[in-house]
Amino acid sequence: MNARDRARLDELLAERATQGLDGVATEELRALLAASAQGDDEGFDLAAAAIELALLVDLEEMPARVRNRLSLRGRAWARSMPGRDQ
Amino acid sequence: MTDDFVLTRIAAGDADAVQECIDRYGNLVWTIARRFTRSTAEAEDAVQDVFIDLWKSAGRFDPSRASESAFVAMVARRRLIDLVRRAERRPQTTAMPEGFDVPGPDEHHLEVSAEAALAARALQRIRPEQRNVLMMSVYHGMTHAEIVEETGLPLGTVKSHIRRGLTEVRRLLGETGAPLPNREAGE
Repeated sequence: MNARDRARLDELLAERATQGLDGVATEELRALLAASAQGDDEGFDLAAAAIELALLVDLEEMPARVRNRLSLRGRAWARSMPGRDQ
Repeated sequence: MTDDFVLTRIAAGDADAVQECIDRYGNLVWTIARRFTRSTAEAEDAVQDVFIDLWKSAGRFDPSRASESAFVAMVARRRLIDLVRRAERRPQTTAMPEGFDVPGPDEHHLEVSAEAALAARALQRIRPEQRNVLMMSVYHGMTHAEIVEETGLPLGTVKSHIRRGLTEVRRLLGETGAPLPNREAGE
């Protein structure tokens, strides 16, 4: 991979981590990743997530109604989870 | 921090870990979702989608690469950014107050991941202009064009500040650029 493609790859990975990519850019990223032969690289995504965590001062309590709905969804998902060894 | 990873257990087929995942990370995901969405109803739906993504991608979690909370935040952000893009708008955020700075360790919620502490350190190290642009992008979800309008900086400079800021955080996190398993582009 040449320096220009490497720079473009980094640019797309940074954009994905911060504001997402449209379909065209996603395809371009896929092609560049294939050319780079290194597989996908989530380093910028993790860096953005770390910044998100660093700037969160307080956590808001999830409302009970939302938690209950999520638990129901979770139980349904758990019954069909792919790796379930039962 | 604990080394009892619920995501690892989910990947291994432990059904009980699914509820534990909700108990452990529900508030974190909810807090992030509330920032990205405009209404409680929208946040409710988004949270359901984030957790489904999280359970499906549990097998990709590698504790040698990231803390569980950072992985959860990453999956949540990705889903929420996608949601925002589809709606063609940016996250519901509060304006950055004058003089807003990176919270110190004493100002944080009780459990701060190692990555968060390193990211805070990286944010303190980089130039104020660069930090401001990075926070506008990552935390406030502003597009490049919006940051250009807000700051008056050229587009290339905005992109460069974001990329270099992320690179600095990544460097502190010890990222090498090696791939995580089973990850597909644009997922």
